[in-house]
Amino acid sequence: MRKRRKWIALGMAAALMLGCFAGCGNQENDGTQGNDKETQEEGGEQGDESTAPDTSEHVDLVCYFLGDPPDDIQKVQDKINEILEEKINASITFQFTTWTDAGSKYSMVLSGGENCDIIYTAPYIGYYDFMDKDAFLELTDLIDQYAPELWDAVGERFFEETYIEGELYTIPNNYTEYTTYGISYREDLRKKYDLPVPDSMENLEAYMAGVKENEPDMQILNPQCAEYLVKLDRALAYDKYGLQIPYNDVHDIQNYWGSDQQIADYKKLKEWVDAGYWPVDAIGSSSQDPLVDFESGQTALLLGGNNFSKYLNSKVKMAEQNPEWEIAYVDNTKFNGVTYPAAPYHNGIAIPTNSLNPERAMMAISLLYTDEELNHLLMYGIEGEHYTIDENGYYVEAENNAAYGYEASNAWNFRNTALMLERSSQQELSDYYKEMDAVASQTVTPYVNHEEGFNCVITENTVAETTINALTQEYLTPLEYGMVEDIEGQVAAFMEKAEEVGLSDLQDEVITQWNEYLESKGY
Amino acid sequence: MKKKRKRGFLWDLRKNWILWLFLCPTLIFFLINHYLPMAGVYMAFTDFNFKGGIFGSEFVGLKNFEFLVKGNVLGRLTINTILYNLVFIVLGNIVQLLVSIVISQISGKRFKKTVQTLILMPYFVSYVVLNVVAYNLLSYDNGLINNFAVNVFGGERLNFYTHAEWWPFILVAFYIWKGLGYGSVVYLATITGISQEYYEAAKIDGASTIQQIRYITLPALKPTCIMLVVYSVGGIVRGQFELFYQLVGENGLLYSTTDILDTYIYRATLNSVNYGMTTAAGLYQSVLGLVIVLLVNFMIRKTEPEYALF
Repeated sequence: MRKRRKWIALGMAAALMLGCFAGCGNQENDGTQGNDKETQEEGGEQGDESTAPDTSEHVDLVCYFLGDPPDDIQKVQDKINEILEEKINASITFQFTTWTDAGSKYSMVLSGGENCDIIYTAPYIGYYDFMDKDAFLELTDLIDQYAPELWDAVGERFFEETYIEGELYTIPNNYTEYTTYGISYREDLRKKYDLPVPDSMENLEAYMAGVKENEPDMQILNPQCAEYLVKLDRALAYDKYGLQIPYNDVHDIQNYWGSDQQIADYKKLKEWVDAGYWPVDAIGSSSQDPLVDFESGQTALLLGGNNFSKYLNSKVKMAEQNPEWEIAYVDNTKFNGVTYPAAPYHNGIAIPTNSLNPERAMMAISLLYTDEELNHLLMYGIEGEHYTIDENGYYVEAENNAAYGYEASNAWNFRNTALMLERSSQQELSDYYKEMDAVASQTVTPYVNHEEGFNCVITENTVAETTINALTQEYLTPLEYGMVEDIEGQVAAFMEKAEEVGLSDLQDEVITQWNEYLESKGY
Repeated sequence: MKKKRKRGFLWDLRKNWILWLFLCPTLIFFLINHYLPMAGVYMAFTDFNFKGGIFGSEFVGLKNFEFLVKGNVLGRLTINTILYNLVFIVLGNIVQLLVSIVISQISGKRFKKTVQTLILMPYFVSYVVLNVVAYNLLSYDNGLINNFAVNVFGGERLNFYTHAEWWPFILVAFYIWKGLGYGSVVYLATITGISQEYYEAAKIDGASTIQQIRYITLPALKPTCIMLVVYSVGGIVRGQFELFYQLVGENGLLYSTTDILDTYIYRATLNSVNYGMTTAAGLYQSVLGLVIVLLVNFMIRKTEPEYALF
């Protein structure tokens, strides 16, 4: 009996040990891959530039995208790997950050928390910040050596715009899109109550008031959109840390924080809350998402991160779920007359500094971008299963489309105009882009996107930056939700605190960088 | 008298090797997850960049700690964090203790199980769901409390989300409600372990139920109670981030009473890539936590030496 007990104890101890080591499997894997890199580098040196790159050792690559994966990602990945194995003796695993907490997950991946060889980049997810901290590899030599065909496939012009002081940290793509904001609104309600199209500040207010009057229980908009709405009549090239720079006069740097304009904006927001456009305590509910609220019919209006292509998605979705609802779109040019395309590096492909196989990663990038079969697999899934191509060459949803929809892998950075499949409904989108093209060509600086082009990275006043980030949320966010009675007092209190921690120094640093930027580009 | 043989580590290893084997997983776990990463605190003193990594980045001294000191927030945040945790620990343990005693006195088996399950359930509710629960209770237009106050008592609606002074109570209430079931299980287990002979003897001597609790149950629970408190003191400088983040979130109007170290650090560093600063903040919390643990342990060793950790 005693002996048996002893054996049981021993077994339990062993089981505990195994459990402990189970998590280490990955790390061992890392080790072998590390060696692999070394041997590869050696191979590369011996091989010289004249011979083809050495791909005798099999490697596993990891490629990161934002957001949530489509259901059939594994299936598509297997198909892609079949081809990659054959061509460059590598396999690839697609990973996704998920949308919840995408920012921190993204930063975790780059800081070496996980293996990663290819990663999506975008200015809105901190491209410049990470670049400044050397998170990405310089790519010129890698492209020259392992993927020279990319220069032509993407196009010289797009690369030129992406170079910063002679260095290239992300691969741009050649698909030009307009992603400036616009309003999606409920057209059926507008028709029903005979309201004006919300295409100017006046009409917008009339529309909101009209809907509220006739549908008293309806929330007009999600408060997260409100701040954008109130600023819609201003076309801004820069709007951060209390500085506003109008697009039409980039040398006129204005102080927004503490200004009468700011107070007027908050008063307007307060007016809207008092009129019941959103609940006074909406800030307390974390489950609110402007897009979900709009698509589920809770709100009548959507802005903030909403653009024409997203509007088309909402339209399709809402027509399926609630055919009696009708939505329409008003773009920002109606309010402020300015638009500009997204920069070519709006969606970019980079190789992280801590990638173990940058050479093979570059080859894989090139194949995924230029090889029609691979590119289509990544962007649209498996032909015949997820989509088909009709006689006009249009993309048509197939039976299993829900499991891998159009660009469902969020691989926007792999868009290649030469290979891209269009949906017939996309006619509307390209018409809209043409329309925007006309507006963009007429601006003071045609087609220039300052928002993405100005690579401002705070290095001197990081302390002021972080403290002011915290202060902004403490003092200004409640104002944006229209929750504060004493607006002037709250703004004054904020200004006092912000000045105390060095707001003007921070602003000076931004202004210096802005002027350098203008000078270097010759605006 | 025979001289005691020197019994070294190896001797112990040979004799109790199975026990050592049991200890191994924990040791390895701590080594990998708690001791190796300690080298990373060096990051708090560098301007981190990806190429150099932790040890190759530029050394900047105490610059990363500046953001905590600037704006005179550190004092307020530290005090808020410690006070909240103190209330959570003290009040939490008292309520758990009381509930476990009450449950142990319940005689109906089925009723007892039902009560236990019901109070344990909130423990498994995620903080995100807690936000939904809270919002449905407190919301201005449709909240249960407001509807109740207006419809039953004819009172006026209150906007909880603009009154910072109520939030300490709201947060404490939710925290205790959530942790109650799980915490009382530990006490309940100890109570079950108390020998029935004590109670029988007390009954024969004519002790009432209250007296039995006062003179048998409570003294028997003392070691467990002290141990739980001492353990939780270690984390007293680490705020309950999820609780505060989910219930208070972006609502700056409530920060005067609800801002703790963790939420402030999150807010300040969220929009920038600042590994140095976040590490610096973590280091500050750890060092302060260590000092407090040493202090508390010292005090316990003075008064009740047998309960001290070391």
